[in-house]
Amino acid sequence: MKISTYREDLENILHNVGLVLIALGLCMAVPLVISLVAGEWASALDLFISLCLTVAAGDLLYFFLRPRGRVTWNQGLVIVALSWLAAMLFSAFPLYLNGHYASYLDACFESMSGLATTGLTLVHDLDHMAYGMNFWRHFIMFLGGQGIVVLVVSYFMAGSSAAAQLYVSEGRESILPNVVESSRFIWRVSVAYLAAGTVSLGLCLILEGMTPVRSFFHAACLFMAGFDTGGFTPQSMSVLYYHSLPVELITIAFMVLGMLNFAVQYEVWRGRPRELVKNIENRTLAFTLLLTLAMVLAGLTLAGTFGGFAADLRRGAYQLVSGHSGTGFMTVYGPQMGARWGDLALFALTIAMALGGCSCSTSGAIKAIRVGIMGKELKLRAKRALSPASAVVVERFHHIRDYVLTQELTATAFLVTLLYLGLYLLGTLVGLFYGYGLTASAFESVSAAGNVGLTTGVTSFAMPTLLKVVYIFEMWAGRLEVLAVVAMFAFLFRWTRRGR
Amino acid sequence: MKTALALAMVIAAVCLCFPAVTAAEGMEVDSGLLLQEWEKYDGKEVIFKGEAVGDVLWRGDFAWVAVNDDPYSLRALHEAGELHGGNSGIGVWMPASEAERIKRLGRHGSRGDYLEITGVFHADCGEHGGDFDIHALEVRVLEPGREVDVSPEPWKWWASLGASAFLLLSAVPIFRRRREERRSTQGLERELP
Repeated sequence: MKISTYREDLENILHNVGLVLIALGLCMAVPLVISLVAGEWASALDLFISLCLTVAAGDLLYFFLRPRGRVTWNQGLVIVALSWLAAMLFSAFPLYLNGHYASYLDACFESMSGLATTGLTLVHDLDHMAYGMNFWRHFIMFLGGQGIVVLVVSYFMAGSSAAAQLYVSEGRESILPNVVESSRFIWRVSVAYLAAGTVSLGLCLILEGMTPVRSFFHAACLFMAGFDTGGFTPQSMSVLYYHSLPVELITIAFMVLGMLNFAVQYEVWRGRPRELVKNIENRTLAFTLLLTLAMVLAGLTLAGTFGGFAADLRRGAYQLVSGHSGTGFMTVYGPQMGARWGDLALFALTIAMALGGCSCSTSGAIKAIRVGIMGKELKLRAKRALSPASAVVVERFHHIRDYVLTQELTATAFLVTLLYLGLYLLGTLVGLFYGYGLTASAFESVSAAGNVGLTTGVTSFAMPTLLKVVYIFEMWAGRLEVLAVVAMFAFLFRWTRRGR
Repeated sequence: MKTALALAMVIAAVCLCFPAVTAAEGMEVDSGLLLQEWEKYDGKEVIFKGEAVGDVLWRGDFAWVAVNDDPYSLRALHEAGELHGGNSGIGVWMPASEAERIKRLGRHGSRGDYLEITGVFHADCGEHGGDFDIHALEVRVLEPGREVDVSPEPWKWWASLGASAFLLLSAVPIFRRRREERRSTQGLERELP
């Protein structure tokens, strides 16, 4: 077998990263049009400059570096990991130029938070931000949630040998037999949801007293942030700004849609609604949601946070779905949550954030399929312990089709879980090093690595630079399910060793 | 007796004309203080000053208005160019008649009316499902809002010209490759019998 050389590896990788940058740059045309329509010349120029620079950088990489041979599995992982870093650097340009961020690092933090659908923010004076730029914050969430590499695979790479590698490297499972078709399906469904979600929430906001233009702008932003389990909002008060139960219920629906596996949703559309009930992920998710909700409600009741059960349920359930789905919408103030919710409720929220939603969804964190598989493994062990030594004990589960639990599946689930726990621990330790409390450090670290975005107030423009860098790393690694990042470092390590 | 009656009427007239005199009974607070010392102010009458931002969300005879009391409420980012962190404020529930006094809201290119709210603070509002809010008894516009200049800095026009040129230059290899491909295709066609 021919081993690829340094140069071949580099050219193949950067050529594909260039394609991602071209796609990202072209996407900047959407907020640019919004800025022009709104007459926001300053923000239009920021977006135009960034669009030109991003597409030009992509052009240079794509056209000067010609691919040599097929993209290998390792190269695919590195392409995805590097594409996300490059996308962070370039999508931060317009944000930084717009003057709402204290430094380019802060703008990078924001763009990675958007792309990784986390929702932690370092923005200054959001309430006076231009429409176009505010839309860009939400749009990068939509791009990141659906997968920027998936976007490129869908529309720029039909027939390319790299498509399959890149698709899987971004943490997706194939819905249709062909990955290009799968990617296009995800994008078509997302755009259809976007239209339906924007109209339904827009109408609701009009009924809730907002003017029509602002209603549909807010609705589009909230849909992108909710369905993509991101958590940015057009106003600084998050969803609390609307003081509306119907808005809360509709955004809960967006979050639930975003946290469910796209493949399962596809099965439902194909006329197999029983998949919703039979699927191991949905069962696990229902179990963990109910368990953590009970804990949150118990915690709120014990702490006496709100005056009664109705308020406990409304506030507790909203924050819980927001945390479990990895969204980060809030209907309470961050410092209020940190100070008044009590340790039990915060602990339950932290667990929910650490577990996350389903695979092949826009959620981050460990994910329900892995939790389900680990639960099945425990059940298998218990069964074996109770059975005669000669008995053959197997455990099955259903995920689109029936599977027999194998050692390989279990090992992978445990490995990824372990990597996530390591990631959570990293941010917690750095938080503790800077003098934040254990609960706050752990909560914020899990929120960043699990791509959630809930905050107790640790995340702010004034937090230490190293902590910002660590959270950026956690968001990036968490979004790519850690493995792509580990593979990238392993690949780089191999390069350096080969170079000796 | 007549003198006393006249005096009482004058006092009543003064109170009606300058409601701030009665409002001054409330404690002046800010959003940070309410978040930190919520127990102290919960259910009490407070005075809160800030900029009306975003939207007036009309709800029948009442309305919700977000009122920010951060440094940007005094000088918008695009006016001063100084960064002071995120926004901070509180949702205010007010009678529609009071909300109608708000003529300008803080948004991009606009500094909203600067308000003085006299109302009752709720750390856990029973009427609104546990909201952290103020129920306004009275709203005064201390300073009307105004337009804020958000025109782009001149260097950005030049930068956009430079970026366009960079984009065009980066596209040169695309055209060159296309031309090469076209030539090679034409060459092949000529070689064919």
